[in-house]
Amino acid sequence: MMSKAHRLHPAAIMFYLYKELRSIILPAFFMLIALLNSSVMIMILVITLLILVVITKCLLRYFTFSYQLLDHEILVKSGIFVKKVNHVPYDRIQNITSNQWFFLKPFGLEELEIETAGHSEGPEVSLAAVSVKLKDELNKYRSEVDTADKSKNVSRETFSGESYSITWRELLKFSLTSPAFLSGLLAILAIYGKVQNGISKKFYALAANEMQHLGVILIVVGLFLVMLIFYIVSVLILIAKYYHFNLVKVNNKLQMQYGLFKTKKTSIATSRVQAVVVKQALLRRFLKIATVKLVIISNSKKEDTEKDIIIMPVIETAQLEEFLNRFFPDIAVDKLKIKDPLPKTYYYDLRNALIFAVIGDVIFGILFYAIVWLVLSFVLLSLIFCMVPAYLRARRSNLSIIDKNYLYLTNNHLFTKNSYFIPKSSIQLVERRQSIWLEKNLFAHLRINCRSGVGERVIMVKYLSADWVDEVVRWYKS
Amino acid sequence: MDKIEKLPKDIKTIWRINVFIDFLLFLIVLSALVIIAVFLPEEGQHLVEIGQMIVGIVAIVVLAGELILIPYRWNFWTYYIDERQVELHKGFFFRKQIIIPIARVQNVTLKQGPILRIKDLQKVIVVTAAGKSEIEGIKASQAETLKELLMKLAQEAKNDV
Repeated sequence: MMSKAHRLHPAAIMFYLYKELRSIILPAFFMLIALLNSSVMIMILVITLLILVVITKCLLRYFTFSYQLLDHEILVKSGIFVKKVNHVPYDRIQNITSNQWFFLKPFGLEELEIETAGHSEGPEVSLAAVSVKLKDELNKYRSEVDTADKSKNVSRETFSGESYSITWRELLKFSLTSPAFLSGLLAILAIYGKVQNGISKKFYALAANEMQHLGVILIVVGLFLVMLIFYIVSVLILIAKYYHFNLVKVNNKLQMQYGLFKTKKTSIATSRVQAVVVKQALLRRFLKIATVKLVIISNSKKEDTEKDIIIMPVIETAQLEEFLNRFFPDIAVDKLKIKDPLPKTYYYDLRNALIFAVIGDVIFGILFYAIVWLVLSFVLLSLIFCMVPAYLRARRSNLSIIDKNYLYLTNNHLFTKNSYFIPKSSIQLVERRQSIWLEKNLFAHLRINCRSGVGERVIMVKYLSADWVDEVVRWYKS
Repeated sequence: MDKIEKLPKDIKTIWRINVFIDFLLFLIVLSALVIIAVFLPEEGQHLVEIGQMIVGIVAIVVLAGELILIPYRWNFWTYYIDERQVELHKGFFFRKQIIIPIARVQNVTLKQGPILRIKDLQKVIVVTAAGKSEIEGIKASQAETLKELLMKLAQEAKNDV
């Protein structure tokens, strides 16, 4: 069985165009600003030239790209000047993700991203527009290779499709409480900083003159409106992104499907799962909702927490136990006994935070002693941002051994509560820390290393009863 | 090797040499500052002089501190290996206890720089899938047997699974 080399669907050209335009839009914008003073002729010339270059590049890219399904591997040829031939054996494929924009649905097209365990940035192979049938075909090839390999292996467990979808109510709660708009605002501020350099002085003076007419109140209202718009937009984006989030478990794989305009399908082999994390920000805790993520082995080089794969963006805490039971039957959630935090833990965490805050306040006070209100507000802010997380940390630092295979551990990051369910088999090493003073008071810290992405993840709980920590050490050794 | 072991006494010499190398680095920075001062105008020189003072003081404090801490470091740095796990213990005032199950050991690296070679010591690095831990220096012959033992145990542990 061997197919000949295929080209992508011509719709891929549009896709390339979109990507190309997105990457040059900002530089092009600055270039136009720079050309603002020159004649219209030159501007039109430059713009047409730019468009021509982009179009030819996309066309060339399209016509030089081909893929071929062979018996044991997928062969991808690409490159305009530098020819690249990429062989990806089926049994090395870790993950196939498909993205489908709503307007491609009628044509039966989607984007496929093929990931391997290689250390490349992003997916190894990206097929911009191919028929939806290709994924099934690929999976067929993969399973053929798989069964040929594993026929001698013991029969694997199969679970008939457990499925879970989020409800509208959950999705709304989730989007409304997301702080994502803040990061959007920051991004805009950063772009503004760049634009400020680009905009000519003339333009700037004009704007400043305009601003003088507006009062301070108007500016504040304007800022508020901008924030509000950002908030609404980010809520809408989130709703579109996680619309109809559906999680299915089949054959030791977790499959997710979500998105309104762009339907994304991805699957994770349960063997890659290192730990299950339940995250809860303060606001969401009041609304009794949480996010479930997985720490997995992948080739992602992103930041620690971004690497974690969201398998359930939002779930009501009441449903959590049932959810875990269905998708992770290994974790005996019902056996989980959570101990009360010790009063001494509060003392240690609050003391440390207080010392930290006071030192900061004193330094700030020395620098700005002349401006009393500034110092006072700094003191207030430092107390809020040190003491509240410290209180939460003390309250949320906890651990409990569920059974001989699973450890339950909670800690706090700023205002977010993280609960980890870690199987013993994925803990790479355990570190117990204790200072001589803590020993007297029978307290200790615990650090646990797991694999995450291509690197390590350190999960730490501080100021726990030494008995609890020792119990974990003994549990780990046995 | 079923007992808690300390690093060989020779490691203290190595640490001392390392401390002096650190001190040398400080001296290089200091002499660079002295040379810079020559090329600067009056006002600048004052600033550089303060810099020189700070670097000098830090260098001496670091030198003295590290030299004093060497016996402490040596005394409270122990390791323990049995057929189930590798354990490392560090420190007295701030105690660390690291436990690596043999089954999690991915590979063992032996490393020997020129300074360790003087005393015929070797650094043993135990690598797991997430990060690594070091035994800073043990006798080369011992390191060899340790490596053999670790790899044999790791093999057996893997076969068990």
